[in-house]
Order: sequence, then structure tokens, then C-alpha cells
Amino acid sequence: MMKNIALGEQLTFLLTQRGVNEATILAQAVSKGISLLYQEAITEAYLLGTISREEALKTLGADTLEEIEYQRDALKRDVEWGLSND
Amino acid sequence: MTLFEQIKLPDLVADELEGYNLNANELNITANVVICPIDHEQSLNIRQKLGQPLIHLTDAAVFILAQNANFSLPVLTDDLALRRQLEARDTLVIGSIGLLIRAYHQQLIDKTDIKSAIDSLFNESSLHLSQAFRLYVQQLLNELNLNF
Repeated sequence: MMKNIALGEQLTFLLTQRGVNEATILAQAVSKGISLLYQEAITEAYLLGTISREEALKTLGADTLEEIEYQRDALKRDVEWGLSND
Repeated sequence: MTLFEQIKLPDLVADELEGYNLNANELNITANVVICPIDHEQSLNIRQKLGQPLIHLTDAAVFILAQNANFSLPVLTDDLALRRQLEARDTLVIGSIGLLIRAYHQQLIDKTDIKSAIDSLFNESSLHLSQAFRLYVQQLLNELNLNF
């Protein structure tokens, strides 16, 4: 995981490394940010049952969806174990 | 905590806890905590052998402890990659949510405690569960009439 580096420091590095202006970087950041938020919202909608598996698959792809389903099922198993008397 | 009589921790995990100012031998739990030294080279080898996604070295040490018990003991972890490896070997894996619900179910903690602990799991821990999973857990608990 990336260390906690201040946003300003990250932006300065990006500007130097990429050799582009600040507006270009910010436009890319908004685009990537919205894309990430969209994926999270699709995940949320799928987990809460408001969209179908097929719809989630179209956006997330098979690998990501499989990972989400494994995590969802692991949480279900955790809850079941928590409520059991084994 | 009285959910388990004994908890075995690899030394690497105990070291990691110290990074959070937690001494494994001084945890406020009644379980007997046993710190098990795991050979660093063995952890590296197991990690390599298990392949992708590459698990963390501390998780490799947990895997070795489970392996030493023929995968017959429950393992406490929230790491999904380790969980996959262990469940593929029929090990019972329990995550933090399961532990908290068991503690609540056995009246070791009350509703305020479990709500606060679950909030901390999502807000402060290194669990990396997204907002989507937070809502999903809430939905699961509400379905069980735990009404968080």
C-alpha cells in the first residue's frame, strides 16, 4: 500500500514526472476518481441487490466480481459462525 | 475474551502488534496467548509456494502455524488471500466480524460495544473493506434483527 504522502507532494511529483500542466493532471484525477467511485457504487448496488449479477459483471469484469463475491460469502460465513454455538 | 482457550500467534504477528503499541502477552483477554517462532526462510518459501496473489509474510507465518496443526484449528484472519488458501484446505477461518458477532451472541459485549467495534473496523482498521461492504454488513445484521 502507498505510504501516506501529502496530496500537494504527489501533485508536485506528477507535474515534474509527466511534464504536463496542473489542469491536465486535475482533469485526469477527476476522471479516474469518478471511475473509481462508479465501480464502488456498482459494487454496492450489486451487494445490496439493486442490480443484477450480469449488470455488475459488465462494469467490474469477471475477476473483480469473483473477488467481491468471495469476500461477500466470507462475511456471510463469519456471521453464520458468530451466531452458531459450535 | 473467552471465545477461545488458547490463541497461537506467530512471532511476526506479535512483532506487528508491537508496532501498534500492543504487547501480545499483555492483551486484555483470558485466552492463553502462545507466541510461536516461525522460521523466516520457511515463511518466504511458503509465500512463494502459495503463488499469486502473494500473501504478506505475517500471513505466510499464520499459514505455517495452521499447517503445523494439519489445518485442523480455526484461524483468525481478515486477509482474503490467506483465507482462500486456508479454506481450500478445509480450515475454519473466522474474520473480525464473526468474532464480534460471536462475542455479542454470547453476551460478552453489548450492542453499543459491537456497533462501535464494527464502526472502528471500517473506519480505523487496515481491513480495507469498502463502503459497499459496510452497507452489506449492515444489511446482513439488520436481516438478523440485530438492527445496527
